[in-house]
Amino acid sequence: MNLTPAVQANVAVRVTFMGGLHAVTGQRELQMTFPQGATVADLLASLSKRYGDAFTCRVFSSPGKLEHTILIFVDGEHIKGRGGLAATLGNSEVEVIMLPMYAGG
Amino acid sequence: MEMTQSNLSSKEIITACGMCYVGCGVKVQVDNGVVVNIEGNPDNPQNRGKMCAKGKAVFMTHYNPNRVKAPMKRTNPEKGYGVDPGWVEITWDEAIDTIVAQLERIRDKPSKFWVYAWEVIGDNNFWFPQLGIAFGSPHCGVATSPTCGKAIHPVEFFSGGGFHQAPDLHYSNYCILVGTQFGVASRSSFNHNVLDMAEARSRGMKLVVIDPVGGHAASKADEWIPIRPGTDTALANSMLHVLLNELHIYDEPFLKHRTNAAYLVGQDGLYIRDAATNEPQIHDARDGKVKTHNDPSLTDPSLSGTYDVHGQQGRTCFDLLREHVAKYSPETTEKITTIPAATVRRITREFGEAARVGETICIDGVDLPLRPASVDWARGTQGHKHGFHNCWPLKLVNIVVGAVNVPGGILSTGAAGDFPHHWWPEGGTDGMLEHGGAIMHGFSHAKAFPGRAPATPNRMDIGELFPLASHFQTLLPITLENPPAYGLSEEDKIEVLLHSPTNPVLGSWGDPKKVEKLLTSLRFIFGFAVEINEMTLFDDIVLPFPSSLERYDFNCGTAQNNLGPCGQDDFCWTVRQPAIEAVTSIRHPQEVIQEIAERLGILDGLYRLLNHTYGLKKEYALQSGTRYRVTEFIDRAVRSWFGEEHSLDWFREHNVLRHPKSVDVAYINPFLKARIPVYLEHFVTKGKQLKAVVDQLGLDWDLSDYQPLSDWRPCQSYDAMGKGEYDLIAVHFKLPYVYGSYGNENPWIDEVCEATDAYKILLNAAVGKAKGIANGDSVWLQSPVHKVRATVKLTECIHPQVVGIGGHFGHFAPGMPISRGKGISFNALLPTDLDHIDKISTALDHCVQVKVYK
Repeated sequence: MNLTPAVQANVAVRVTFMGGLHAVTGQRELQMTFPQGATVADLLASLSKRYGDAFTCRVFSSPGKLEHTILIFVDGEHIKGRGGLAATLGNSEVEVIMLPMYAGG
Repeated sequence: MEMTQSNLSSKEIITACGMCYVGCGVKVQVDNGVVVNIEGNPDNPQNRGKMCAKGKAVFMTHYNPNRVKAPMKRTNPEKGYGVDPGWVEITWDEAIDTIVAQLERIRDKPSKFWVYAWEVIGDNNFWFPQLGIAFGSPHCGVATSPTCGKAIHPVEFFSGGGFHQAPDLHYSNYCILVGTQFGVASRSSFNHNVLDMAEARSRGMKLVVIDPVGGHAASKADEWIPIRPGTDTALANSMLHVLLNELHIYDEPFLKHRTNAAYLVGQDGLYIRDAATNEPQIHDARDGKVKTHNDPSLTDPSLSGTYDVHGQQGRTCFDLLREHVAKYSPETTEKITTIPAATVRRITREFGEAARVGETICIDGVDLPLRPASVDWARGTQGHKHGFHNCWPLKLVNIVVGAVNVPGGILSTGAAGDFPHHWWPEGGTDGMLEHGGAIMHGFSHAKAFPGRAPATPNRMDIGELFPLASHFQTLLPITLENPPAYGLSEEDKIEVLLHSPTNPVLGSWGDPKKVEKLLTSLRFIFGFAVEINEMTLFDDIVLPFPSSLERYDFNCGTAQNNLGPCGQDDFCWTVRQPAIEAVTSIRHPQEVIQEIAERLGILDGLYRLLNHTYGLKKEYALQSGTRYRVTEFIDRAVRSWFGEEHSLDWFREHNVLRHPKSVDVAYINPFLKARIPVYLEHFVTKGKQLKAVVDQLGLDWDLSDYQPLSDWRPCQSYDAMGKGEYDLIAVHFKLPYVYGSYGNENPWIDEVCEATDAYKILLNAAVGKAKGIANGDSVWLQSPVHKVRATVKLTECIHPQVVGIGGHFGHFAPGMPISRGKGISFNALLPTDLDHIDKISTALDHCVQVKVYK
């Protein structure tokens, strides 16, 4: 799948980074385009390519498995309810969030 | 108007205490608008009508004439200890304009924003960090102490499934407390557990307290065993040795089927994995074959032996553990811990026999393993240079006898539930427990398995170099001194801090000079405050914080969240509601946070996070473009969680919603579809990965603690004994009527402290005599970084090499005239550098070499 902006690209995705990921990407928001049928996994692959290991190692605990500190919402809905990384993107608003860990006292 | 009994306006409000993080249920008597009495609420299962001295004293904190009741700004740009900020009152508009302008200034570098959120729990414990996350900062901490939770949460999440641990006092017959005063003087759910402990003791449970200080817990114990600070690893390994190698007391079926004890390990310390699936392998004694841990045909895992797996010699984790602890005979560790070998053998035998391995109990028609013995530990064992390994083998003592999350054993708090929604720990990598359970959604577990990938830091607290730690705030006074040393840029340093109304200057770090340097390095600090404490002195803008008697909180305490009572006591939810109205100049912080977020254009992001954190159903979720009163938010939250019939009005009237706990929720281990570790294989991998990163950064770090089995290594204070000018080790202990430094300005608490000699330091009577120091003498107490005057109390109830310091005293802020100049700040004695930080957990070493002299 060609993930770079191309002639056949036909969905526009706005990605927002929250929490610790801004420090990795250096951007709060990013406009991207993908072919119809692209998934969250495709989006993350594209972001990994763009931002390199610094992004990948913080987002994935192992290939294909999200780090437990990562939350992703597509159009306001947690991807857990949309098939996880297989969730399909439309003309979507995607929020990728790195959460702190909760430890008290 | 003359007030008489007949025309006195009187009402009773049912709400939750806010003097510590527990949140006990209380009934507040308000006469003519004035709080006149507070009683425990007997209908609230968290405390069953009991209260502590702190809670009873809350209205003296509320009516403190020095409370902050309006926003203020400093007029003196100079900051530091002893510097008068020159406060002037300002309007809320000016305060928020200033805050927003400062945050706008760093909008493109949001990691310059730091949120310190621990707030003696309420909803702002969740709201403050969500503001920081929505802004784009990684520095959003929900922790304060440099010890608390450092080891317990990571250990619990991978070996229990919950947030914390607690002995099951309902069935326990033998309880050992190491470095904790659980059920007597500390921990959540304090008032609940105090009663459970009393009942267990009257039932005949033997309580053994192992602690350098013979304090409140020891006073209730059958036996107090003094131990040299920071030597718990040696003690625990000795106990394991006696159980496994001398007495041969262990739960074989539990170890075979519910732990990784049978996993095969190669010469490299790593699991021998199946080539096709990469899953760890086990030898099945039934058919003599080696198969993956999840092979359906696996029947009888071999706990011992060496097995050939495609040319590799695989040994079981159990054998490796047993062999490892054999180095720690009680005779060997006696020299380290000062606990006589015979004592270690006796208590281990008593513990092992009390565990009744193999027995079962039927509860509500369900047969469960019965293991009425446990070892509990907490802050005292965590706060060391090798804090993680100082704690983990103590947990292993429970694991080898199968006393984990079964009746009578050590239980995980908040791990599972079926009301108002379902949460449950789950397995993952390598068949091991990976995902702990938590009722709240929006924060990640502070877990240490399988660990995160080490990386070159972009966090100023270098959290990336601590892949198994739960929080990193403790490191900031160290790392901000020299960011380039860790691959960070000076230009990226944190500039703006939002803090909660607690007092991190006294409680969150060590060496006060480093703390002062940290805080003066920040360009702008805004914080909420109840009183002008030592932290507030560094603020640029101070915002008034409503007292717990005038505040709403959906989350009113950890006792109903992740630190609830264990066993089958009812689940309960309580909402904090005001007993009296706050003056109009005090606003609910949740509403202030919304205004700041809206002004910054991040309100939608904040709501996304809050909706997720609170698990608000779609129809109750906070909506874009709307701002909510705190009452509106709580009404949405309670209806989302508990149904339309349980509105805020319902909670205002009834306040307590109870739900019985089923057996599987109370005792999760038999129902858990995951194994727990006896061997930390991933420590090997993480250690190698981390070494590659620190080498690349040119850091000379000792990473020897990244090992799968625990070894005792001395703290610096241990090595300092007898080698130089220091001859004692200072340790800290908790008092049941003091929570951190929060509430010290309360005159009733002050009176209790005075009456109980809480402001004095404890010194062994024989040591005092030898030094010519008498009871009540004023002395110098000196550590490598700090020197302070202290008053001595001589006692036989302290290890002779130890100085005991209770509470978090030593206030010097002008806004605290009652507590100012009383007692000492223990943390101020602590050297604060990476040599005193546990490379696993980030715990700051809390045993420090000192000398005491006139």
